[in-house]
Amino acid sequence: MTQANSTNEPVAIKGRSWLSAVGQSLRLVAGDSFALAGLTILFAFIVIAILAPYISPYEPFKAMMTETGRLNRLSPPTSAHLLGTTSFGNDVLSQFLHGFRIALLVGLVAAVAVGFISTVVGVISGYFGGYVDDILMRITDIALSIPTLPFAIVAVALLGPSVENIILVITILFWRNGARIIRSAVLTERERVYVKWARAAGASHFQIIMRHILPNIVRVIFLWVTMSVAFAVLTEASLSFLGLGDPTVVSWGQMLNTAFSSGNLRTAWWWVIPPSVALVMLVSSLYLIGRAYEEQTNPRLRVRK
Amino acid sequence: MRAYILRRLAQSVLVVWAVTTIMFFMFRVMPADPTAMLLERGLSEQAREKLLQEWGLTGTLWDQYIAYLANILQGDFGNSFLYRKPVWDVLTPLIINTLWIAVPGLLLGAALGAVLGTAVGWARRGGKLERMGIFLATVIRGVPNFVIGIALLTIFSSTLGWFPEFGMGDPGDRTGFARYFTLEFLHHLALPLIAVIIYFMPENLLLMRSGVVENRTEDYIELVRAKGVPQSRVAWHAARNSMLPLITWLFPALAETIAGIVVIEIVFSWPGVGRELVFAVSRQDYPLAQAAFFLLAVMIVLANLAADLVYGKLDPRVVYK
Amino acid sequence: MNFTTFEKPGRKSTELAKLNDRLAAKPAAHLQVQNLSVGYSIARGIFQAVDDVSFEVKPGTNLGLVGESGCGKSTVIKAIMGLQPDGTRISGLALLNGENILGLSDRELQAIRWVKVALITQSAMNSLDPVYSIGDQIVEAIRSHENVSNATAWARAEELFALVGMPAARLYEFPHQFSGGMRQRAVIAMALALNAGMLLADEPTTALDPIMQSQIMQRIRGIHEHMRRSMILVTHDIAVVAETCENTVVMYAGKVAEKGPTEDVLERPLHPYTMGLKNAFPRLPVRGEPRQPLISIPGVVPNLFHPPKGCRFAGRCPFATERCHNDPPALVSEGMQAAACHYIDRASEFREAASRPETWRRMGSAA
Repeated sequence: MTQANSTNEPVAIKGRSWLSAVGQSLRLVAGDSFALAGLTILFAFIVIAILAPYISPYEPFKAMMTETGRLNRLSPPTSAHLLGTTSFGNDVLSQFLHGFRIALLVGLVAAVAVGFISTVVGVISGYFGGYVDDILMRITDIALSIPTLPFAIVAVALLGPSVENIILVITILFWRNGARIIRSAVLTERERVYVKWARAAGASHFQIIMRHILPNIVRVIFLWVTMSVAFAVLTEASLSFLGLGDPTVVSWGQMLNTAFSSGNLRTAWWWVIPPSVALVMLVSSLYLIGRAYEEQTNPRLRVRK
Repeated sequence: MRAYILRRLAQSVLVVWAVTTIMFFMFRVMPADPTAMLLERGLSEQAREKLLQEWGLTGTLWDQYIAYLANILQGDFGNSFLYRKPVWDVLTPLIINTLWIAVPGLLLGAALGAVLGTAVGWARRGGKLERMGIFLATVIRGVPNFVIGIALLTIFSSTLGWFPEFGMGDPGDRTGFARYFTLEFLHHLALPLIAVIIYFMPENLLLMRSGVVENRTEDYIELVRAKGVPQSRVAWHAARNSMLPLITWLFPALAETIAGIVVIEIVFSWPGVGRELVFAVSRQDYPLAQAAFFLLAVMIVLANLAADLVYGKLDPRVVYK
Repeated sequence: MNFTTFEKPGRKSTELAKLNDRLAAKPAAHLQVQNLSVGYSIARGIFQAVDDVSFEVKPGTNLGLVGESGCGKSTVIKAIMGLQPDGTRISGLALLNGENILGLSDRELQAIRWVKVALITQSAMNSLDPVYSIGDQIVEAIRSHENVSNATAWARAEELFALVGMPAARLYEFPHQFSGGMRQRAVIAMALALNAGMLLADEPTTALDPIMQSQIMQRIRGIHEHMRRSMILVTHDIAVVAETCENTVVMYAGKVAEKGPTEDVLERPLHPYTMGLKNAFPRLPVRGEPRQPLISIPGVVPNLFHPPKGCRFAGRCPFATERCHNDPPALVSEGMQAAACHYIDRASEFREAASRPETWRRMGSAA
């Protein structure tokens, strides 16, 4: 590396390609068997979420009737209702399958929004420094003192419980940690020799950020977006479990809330177990991916071979 | 040192002020009709006017804001709509209930996480113990806290009947602190406390493990080994140094965890501040919701302050200025 | 108890006196390293850091282990202390007073580390735990092995600090409050804590400025004279060895190039590497004599993944022949001295040539 600073080595003024940076991130993750399992589960969940309306046997909120014309309440799994029915006579399997959509929709949209805001704040703060940095970081400090779920509870109640508002509140809550992490990554990148060279060569701030800073912090952003998906899924599920979710759509948290508040936790295992297990699988997969990623990119954690 | 504490206190006050300002905007600006949020419906026009005057809800937004701050400075958050008494009368007994599960839960969770994290971090790299430890901790970390609660409840209370299903038990004729020192209370406390521990432990474990793994290749560990002290003592040196990043991490983590306790209080019907917040919000009892939110925010600020001071105790390199 | 003493000795000082007596009674150790080989297995294969190294440290003597960085000196020390990383392959013997201490488990080593063999580490910068006071760290070493009270251990630590010229009050300070030289002295004090029969000093002065280096070396020499412990001093500084050590082992690329009494090895080196090493160090000019030119050995230490099949120094040796590139030379003795060179009989001719800069320069341009 020291030799690269001498004359003949062409130091990468061109910067890295975005594609290669992202590709490298994926390769890193695929090297870890736990993370690979996580990726597989995540992929399967996405497929189910896309197919949910086509493969679910009934409308999620349709009341099922028995042959005698009465509401088919709390039926254990049967061939007609593979996962039984709820106390309102809804088909659990159909609700469960629709739950994939909400979880992933909220998770992915909120994570992209969080990733975007964190990156903008982190890069501006880290790259320009000075007063801008001071002000943005003080704001982050204050944001870090806001209790997350209580804020979400109050904000969603005031704004009205809809999927859009939930995504908005999650975004407001989780940009703060990401901004700090990305800022410190930018601080390291900013001091690199090639950034100084690029600046000396007359590149504009925008060019330097796009070509030299961002491609090199892609892995930090990637890690933060992965974790944000998990936080968003968890927050949506918690809100729905507390009865503050969007009442017009089905989500896993809401299913558990209905089972819990109707007092059927113990008996209606077919109603409780699927959403619980799916939530655990989804969030754990994301954490496994994130952890493998951290492990691979932190040189002090890597196994020395 | 004194100057440092004073400055940190001033900073904390500043943060509390910022949070109250955010609260002001949340409760008065976001809803279409701010007065509707703070005043009970079905009041006569006269009574409504009177209350508006009393609460400083007339005049410009700026006037309202000043009146609002003045009220908060006096500790006046108004009356609960539902209970028809000052919000503090409702919340004060609940604070201690929340602390009963929050403080031991966080401390035990952190301690257990630190011990297990050291064990996993000290295990052979790439070995079975390390891989299993990381896997289990990551998966348990992914379990939402209400799922932990539901699982504990269905297994240990509904099915096995070992623990009561909800609440804090009947204090009988005991008053004051005596009510907390009964077997019945502890029996009720057990499950929610375990839920908080399980919820809080894995992240501590993973962080401690990373710290130990990073520290075990440091030069000073080599010298400690060379001194011929027992292995447990060598691991202790690595663990002791890994506690430092753990404590800086506690800062944002506490916010998440105190927030997460809301859900656990709901699952176990534990009469705490978080549960009251959810109730207040769903019954549109806004003065109560506002005060509960404020309380939770202050708890987080205080926890941060504590974490900062503990860090200074643990790391001799920290100089208070 | 002797009643003629002025002060009535308290329990503490009696315990300290007993401890000191016990420690002073420890004999200097005798160490024989035989056919020591250390290999790290890495994904690409086995990295043979130390290959078939043998030497002996007689009780109370000081052995210098010299060579360029990366030639395996520190690896030898780590292997003797049992500090090699997991997955290291070690063969050979290290007989401490006749008993092999290689390949023992951490638990078995507890009875040997610091009790019989103590270490003065390479980088005093990071070798002290940042969160404990220096005193705590010395006391930890004492109390792990000697059943004495905390107060006695602290009293012993104060004595040790006096020995290295530091005020006792500084025992309560933390490593970050010390300068590099003070940390190094603290590390030396710690190494002396249990008066181990064998001291291993692994480049004790590398991270220090020249003035501090000479102070620390003087301190080490003084302690060596005073206590007569056996010692191995690892260094790349041949001048330090000349001043300090009775015997010298010159290592090159994991092997012993030359060994023997220091005077012989440095005055009449048999191995061209030793000759080159000697040239590479500055000497103060002697009035009336021409200033000695500083000559460095061109080239680098060979890659130990694929060690050369002949003599490991052949690639950099100005006198190398076909034979040197093909056959590894064995260690040949000449009197007290021994060297691994095929042309040990032509040593005086080589010494003559090696003192001329152009001999090495030619080598450099050819390479």
